[in-house]
Amino acid sequence: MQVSRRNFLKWSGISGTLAATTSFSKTVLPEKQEEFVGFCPVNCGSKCLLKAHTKDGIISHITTDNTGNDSYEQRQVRACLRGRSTRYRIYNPNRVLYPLKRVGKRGEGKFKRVSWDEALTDIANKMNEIKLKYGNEAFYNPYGTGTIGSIMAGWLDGSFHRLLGVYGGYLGYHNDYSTGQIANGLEHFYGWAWGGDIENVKHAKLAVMFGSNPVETRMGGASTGYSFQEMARRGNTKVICIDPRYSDTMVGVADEWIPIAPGTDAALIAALAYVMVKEDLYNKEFMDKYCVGFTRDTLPEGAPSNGSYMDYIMGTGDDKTPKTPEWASKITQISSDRIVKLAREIASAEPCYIDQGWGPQRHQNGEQQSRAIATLACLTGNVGILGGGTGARSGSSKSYSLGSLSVNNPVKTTIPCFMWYEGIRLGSKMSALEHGVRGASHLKVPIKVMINTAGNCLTNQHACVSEISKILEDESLYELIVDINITRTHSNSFADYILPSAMVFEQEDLLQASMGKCSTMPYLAIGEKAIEPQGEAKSAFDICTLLAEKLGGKELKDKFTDGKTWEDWMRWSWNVAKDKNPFLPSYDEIKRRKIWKSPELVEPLVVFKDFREDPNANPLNTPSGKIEIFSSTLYDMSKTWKLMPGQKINPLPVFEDVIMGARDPLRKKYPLQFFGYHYKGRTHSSFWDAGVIREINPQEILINTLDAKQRGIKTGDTVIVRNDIGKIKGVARVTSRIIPGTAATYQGGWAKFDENGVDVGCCVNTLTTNQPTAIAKANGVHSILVEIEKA
Amino acid sequence: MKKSDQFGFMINQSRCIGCRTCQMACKDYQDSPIGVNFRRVYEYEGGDFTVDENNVIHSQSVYAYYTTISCNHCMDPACLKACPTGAMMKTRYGIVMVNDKRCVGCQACAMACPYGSPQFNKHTGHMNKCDGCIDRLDEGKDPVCVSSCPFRALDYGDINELRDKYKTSLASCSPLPSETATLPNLAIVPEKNTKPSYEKSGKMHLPHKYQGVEDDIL
Repeated sequence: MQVSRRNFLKWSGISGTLAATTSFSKTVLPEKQEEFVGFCPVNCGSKCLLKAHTKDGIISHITTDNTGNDSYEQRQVRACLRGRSTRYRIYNPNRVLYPLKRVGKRGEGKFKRVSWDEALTDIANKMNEIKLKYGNEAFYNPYGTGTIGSIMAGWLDGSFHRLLGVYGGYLGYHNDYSTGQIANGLEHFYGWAWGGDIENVKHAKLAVMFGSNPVETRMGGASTGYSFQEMARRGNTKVICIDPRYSDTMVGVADEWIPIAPGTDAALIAALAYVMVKEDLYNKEFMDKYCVGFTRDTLPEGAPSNGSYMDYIMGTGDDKTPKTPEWASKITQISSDRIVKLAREIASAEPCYIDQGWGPQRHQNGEQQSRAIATLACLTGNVGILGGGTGARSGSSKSYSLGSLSVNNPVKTTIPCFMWYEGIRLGSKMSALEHGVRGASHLKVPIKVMINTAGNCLTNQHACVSEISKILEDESLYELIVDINITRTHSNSFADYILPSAMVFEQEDLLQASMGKCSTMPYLAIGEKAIEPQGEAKSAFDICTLLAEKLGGKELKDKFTDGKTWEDWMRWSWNVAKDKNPFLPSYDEIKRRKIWKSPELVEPLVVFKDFREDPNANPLNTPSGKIEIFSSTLYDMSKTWKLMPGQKINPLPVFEDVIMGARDPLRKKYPLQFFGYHYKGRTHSSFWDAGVIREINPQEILINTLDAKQRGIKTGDTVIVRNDIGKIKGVARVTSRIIPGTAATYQGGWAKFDENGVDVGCCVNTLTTNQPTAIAKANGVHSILVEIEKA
Repeated sequence: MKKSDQFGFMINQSRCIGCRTCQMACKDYQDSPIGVNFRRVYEYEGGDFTVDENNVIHSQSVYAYYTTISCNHCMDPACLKACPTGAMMKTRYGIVMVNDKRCVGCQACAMACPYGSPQFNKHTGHMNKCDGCIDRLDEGKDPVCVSSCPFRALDYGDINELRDKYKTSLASCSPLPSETATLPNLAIVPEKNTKPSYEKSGKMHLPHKYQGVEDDIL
């Protein structure tokens, strides 16, 4: 891999590339089919069907689902451009083809080819040595979502988790990089974090989307984006997007864009509540009956007497500040007139669908932001009714769960997934009250082994790439880093071994619709093997079977496989779903039919319908059984948890100033707020490896026309975005589609540092802080301040 | 479609969210190298903010919409008239195609076409362009781009039938030229903000090849 791949890329058309890679394909499959069903296995929030068309054992092109009449009720699960780029990823000059072993210092990115036997023997010896010295809590399999299937899954419940489980266990994690703050915030609000199906939009008079952009984040043809567009159209629903960006959800159906400063949604909500209270527009009956802590009357025992949300908004709370529209307008950049009008509009629309994406919560004050938006849904009495919603992100109406490989993990301690770097830096000093460890008060031992599968979260998708790189480079800390991937990434530059993974169409698997939790048309499918794996790539299952034998002989191998072949596991996995849902076709039938779609749409899910109908018989999973505007759990935590300077835990969903937020004094030096967001050309950092995607949807730095003018920047200029944490270099796109005072880039660009330490790969996390958020200990990486100048 | 029909595309701007799946599907199916894109998605955006000294926004008029364009298989194709060798021809279904054997790669057609449709392929030395997936049409299949669209913003067919079906006779808008230039076989369903051709309030954005796509990734 030290050889420049540039020559590979100087192709004479794709066929040139295919010719170059054909030599790696060993055999043509015996059964000479021409069309194979597969799917797109990455974590975008859709999950779409693909078809590989082969000729002489080589994929010639990819198409997608073309079954049925494509009515909305039987819509085709059409893959977006990412899924359709699969051929370019399989036959990719950057593909890892052989096991690689690090030569030179860790992080230098120098590797040599070794045999599978050598790699696995070395890895197993090292693992056994560390297990003897530290025990099983020293093993960690970080978050990574480049491959999510049923058996081939690279993350939760995949082969590596099973292997580590039978090996004696591993340190687990809770939270994820997408939803840490909202999951923890709403757990202390509703007891869970999801909203109803986005099809509720059809039944709403008004839909208000807070940082919610389904058409870009869940773009696949059967998923949320298409449902949103179709339902808003059919219901003739007015749609307002409250977002720092004029996102593509605005294009087509949405009616109005209200630009808002990033990370200030909670301030807007406080002012909306203020207007609704002043003008008696809120649903008093709902608040009294279903919620605690909105007024002093409903505060739980032990709460401060002036600790209600009403006290907070009316200025009778501790900060003595009424949350007037004028107060909020200076924070949010939304005019007070518009705030007043919006409060009246939302309060008078019955029902009103209120939805939040995961952007507002990916800030340092994300827990509060997510709870504040949910509070708005309560204030207007929209929880538990068709066309309303909880104010959380839209969820799934129905999915059929296939079986997954995992076994019980004997180690019960978990850490927040964002905090693995503290697992080595602090080791046994890492605690529950300071770092969010669960299942134990402290870690027993530091993490020593990282087995990173299908993920780029070691550096690129984490935060503060430079700080994390230094930790990884230190060979005395992590003693073994193994990376299993289809391609070289910035993360696996820090690996000791890189093992080549087989891709979709190179192995069989089962598909379960949409991890993105939105579907009224559940579907299941089979992923067929169309070609032999490139080079010496192997499936995760096969790698783990071989590694199990090296680690513990035949006994551990049998424990891992449970005596089952891959096919046995597929059948078992399918039957887990079929046993619960007998109307599903048999395994043999799905092998023949390949795709199963629910014959009719399931009813759109309305969350908390039962609770709304009878709150006493159907209490929520919170300490009071009601919606906790004032959370007594958080109140207790605010007194016991040890926090970082400037951080607070507040039992109410208040607006908080945070580091690198809209009102940080640092803004004098770095005047622009900055954030990264999901981009159509990629899923997180997956697909960057496909050159065609970078051609069609290139990385850009969005800067507002007014800010660009002040800095003399034009579209196409190379610019540097900098702060005290790092510098990224990229191409400016001057646009009015982002609020003045804010700039952004697409998350997931691959960090690539030049000799001056400038990241020319334009990875947003080069600029982000490693500081975890107060409650969830999650990545508040949208809180960034920068200055931008021409390079 | 009958071979005597006139092929055309329908683009529904009120559904298109600019994902560029059509572009990728076409690229993969037609095996186009980097630099050759039969289909391209133009973004058109404009509008302004009124901001006070506290950065509070008192009004804004921001808008954006997408136009996905390949070849419009025009009634009066500028490319065909410009071609000095007769390589550019109008064939069955009224589809405009390049005859590889005759094309010398002079790029006169590319210069003449106001839609950027003919594209020079430096690897083969001649012009490439959308052929409406003519072989698929012969088999009764949809063009690849049409059947790829996750938001169902594309359709094709006999142009008169398309215009009836989608109740639109619109064939020009910004950033496209006026239809009078080449009589494109295009049926546009406008977005709420769609502006007429030559309207100057907005600007066109066509993101292409900003970054070294042919470079090593690490």
